[in-house]
Amino acid sequence: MYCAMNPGLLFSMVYIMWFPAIYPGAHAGNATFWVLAMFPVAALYWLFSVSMPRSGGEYLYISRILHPSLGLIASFIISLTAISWNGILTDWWVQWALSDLFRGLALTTGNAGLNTIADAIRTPIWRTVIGAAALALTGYIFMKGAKMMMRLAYWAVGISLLGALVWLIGGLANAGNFAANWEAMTGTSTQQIIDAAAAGGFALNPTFLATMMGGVTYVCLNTLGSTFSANMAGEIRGVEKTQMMALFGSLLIQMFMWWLVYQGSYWIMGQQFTNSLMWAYFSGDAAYPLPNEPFPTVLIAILSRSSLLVILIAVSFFFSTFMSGAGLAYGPTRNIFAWAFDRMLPAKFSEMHRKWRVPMTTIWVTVFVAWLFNLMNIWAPTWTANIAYTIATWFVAWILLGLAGVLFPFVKRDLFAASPPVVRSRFLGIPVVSLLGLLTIAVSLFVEYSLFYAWVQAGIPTTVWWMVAAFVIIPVVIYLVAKSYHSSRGVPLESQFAQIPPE
Amino acid sequence: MSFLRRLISGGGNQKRNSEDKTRFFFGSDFHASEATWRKFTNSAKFYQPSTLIAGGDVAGKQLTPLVAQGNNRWTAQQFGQDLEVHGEEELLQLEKSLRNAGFYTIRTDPDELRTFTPAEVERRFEQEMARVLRSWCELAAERLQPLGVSLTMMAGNDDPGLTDQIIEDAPWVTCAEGKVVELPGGFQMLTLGISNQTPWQCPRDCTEDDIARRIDTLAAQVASWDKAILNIHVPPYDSELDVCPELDADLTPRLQGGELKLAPVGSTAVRQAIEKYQPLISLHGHIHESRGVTHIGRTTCINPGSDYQLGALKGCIIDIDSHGRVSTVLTQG
Repeated sequence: MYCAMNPGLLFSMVYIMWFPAIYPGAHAGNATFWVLAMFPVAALYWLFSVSMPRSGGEYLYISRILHPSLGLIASFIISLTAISWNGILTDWWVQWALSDLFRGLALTTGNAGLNTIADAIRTPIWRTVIGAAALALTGYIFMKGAKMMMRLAYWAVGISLLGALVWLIGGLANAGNFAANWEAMTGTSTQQIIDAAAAGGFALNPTFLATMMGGVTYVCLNTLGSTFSANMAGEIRGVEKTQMMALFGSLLIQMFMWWLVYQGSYWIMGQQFTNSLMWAYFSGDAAYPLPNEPFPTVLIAILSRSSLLVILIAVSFFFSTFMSGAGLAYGPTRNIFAWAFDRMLPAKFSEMHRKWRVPMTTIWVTVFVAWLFNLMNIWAPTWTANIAYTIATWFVAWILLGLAGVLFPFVKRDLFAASPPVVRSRFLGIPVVSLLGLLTIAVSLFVEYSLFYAWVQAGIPTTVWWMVAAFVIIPVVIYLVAKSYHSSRGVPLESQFAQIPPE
Repeated sequence: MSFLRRLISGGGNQKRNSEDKTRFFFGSDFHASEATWRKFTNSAKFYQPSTLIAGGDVAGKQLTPLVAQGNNRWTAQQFGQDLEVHGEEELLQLEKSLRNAGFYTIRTDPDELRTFTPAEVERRFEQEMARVLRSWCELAAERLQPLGVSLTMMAGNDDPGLTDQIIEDAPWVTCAEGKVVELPGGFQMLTLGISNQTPWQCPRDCTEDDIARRIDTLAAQVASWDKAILNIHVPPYDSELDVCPELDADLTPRLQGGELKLAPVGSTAVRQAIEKYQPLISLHGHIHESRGVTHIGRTTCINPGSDYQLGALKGCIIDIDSHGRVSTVLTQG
């Protein structure tokens, strides 16, 4: 459930607003099946976690098989990306759950005064105050430990399912009235939106290429966190079975939930209208009639005029997104602990608090970094866009992971030979773990290609490249500084990882 | 550029490396893993300690029969899986794999296997355990004597009584079990390969009172606690070096919130002894998954953990400078 919660089971409610506009001709419902491309990566994590059932995830695997510095780079990229998303996601729910709750209620009740509250919540100062409080609460949950996180994960998955079903069932039950309600509330017909999109050159009918590119960007790229159970493999009972369920099950749950929202939106409002509406919003076309984004909280208000459904969707999106952000930052606390344990960071980061039995320094530094990203998202949104793009570096980390998979049976023969039979299995004489490593590299390269293609098309600012470079260079600097420091103290960093030959 | 070169090469301040330090390397809970012991005895070349300190639990836990089924076909079980190999080369590979994971092996056939009574299995287990331990001591002497690196060994709560005599009789190895021994640098080490009661009723499980009494008896021989190492197999209670999954009455790990429920299981007597005597260092093993370094008062307490089933060597480099300052590095190789 922890793995399922992390990728954000209701993010599809956000992406449906952007996805069709950025990739004209994309069919969001079909695109969810691109999550299947992530199964080889999940399978590689599974075999690694069975072979090396210790906390640390990719840091442990890559450090042992390739080099500690590469392990740190991969782990740092994934950790910082995940922590940054905790900060950014906090601002998501403030806008689309909290603010849009009042905006949706204004539509259903006719009380325009609620729009004032919605607008106030969207001001930077209130987003800052609410964001800081929410992240402090996140830190407190981390202090309560894994037990609390796992309990909340069950709730998060359950409530996310509730939100998706409310959107689907509430929407379908009122779909017959949608066109009339839309026209009554906005003063424009659904056909006018579609016509405007067609006139603007927007592709109304789905194409495979756009669906594929959209699937890679808005589905595959949003599975971040679904492998985090591997980062705490040392604390999980029955690793082989439990990890298999977590790693594959989380992807299946995500595919199902996202499909419910994407496909559900098409069933409720029609594929052409949904895509055209998002295009009109995203492109700023004059035909777009709403004062803000077409988020489901607002759309369900137009569809059903039911305050209850508005509240249910807002609460579901809040809890799902809050816990996704918390889950994404929770995994990295284990990684930072592992780096400190291996002397890459000061020992303070691996100290356990005597009373709480958690790495207190690591927890609050993680929360602090998430808060910085939250502030950046609020006060310097241009830079946040850069951060959002750095999610591409995460697949650089997976290229390293794939390489570790390919080489594992050959460079760590003893460890491979001592692994449980499932890890040692072969296909056509080739170790399966190596084949999965190759597939992981292929998937990662394909995702990178799709992203860079989109970036080049979009003409993104050069600052993004600097940000991507920083994500890779910072861990290299940390490694070199740690290496130099420890060499000067007498026990080189390499000593602790040195593979001592038995012979 | 010179700074960058130093950074990359890790050259650092070479003067500090030449400070007068005494270095020990400590590993524990080898549980008959051939690969782990071989790495341990080779670690002297890598870490250049004055002494290797081997913690307790040297004996394995299982004897695996390799059963000849005829036509050069052999069967065995590993991790609950049925294995089958063909020919001498594959058989040797399987034996090596099992030995590296800490299993003792014997070659047998179905007829002989049927004659194995529990007493006979016990006899064959002890026979194999003794043979392997003797070979380990010989290997250690062969590798360490030329380097001038001493080795102390001890028993652990899993080890049967006969291990003491085998270690005692071995060349080059110092049997530290139940003694206070002298180490290079003027240090003394008090060693007891015992534990408080475990659910498995191991050969050297004791009551807390017994542990306290035995520590106090040996403590009288320690000249100065400023230069003393307390080497006791079981870690101190509630020290973060003693955390492991809590078991129910059926010895099944308890779950809490979908995760293993962890609990401290160390010895209260060992903790009290550390608090009372405040040795410079205390060395422990026993709880494989609770690897770490912590402090109780001024004492640096160490549990290097163990990953013997994977043939991985987990250990700890311990440096003590001339002012009695201790620095530690947990290793994995």
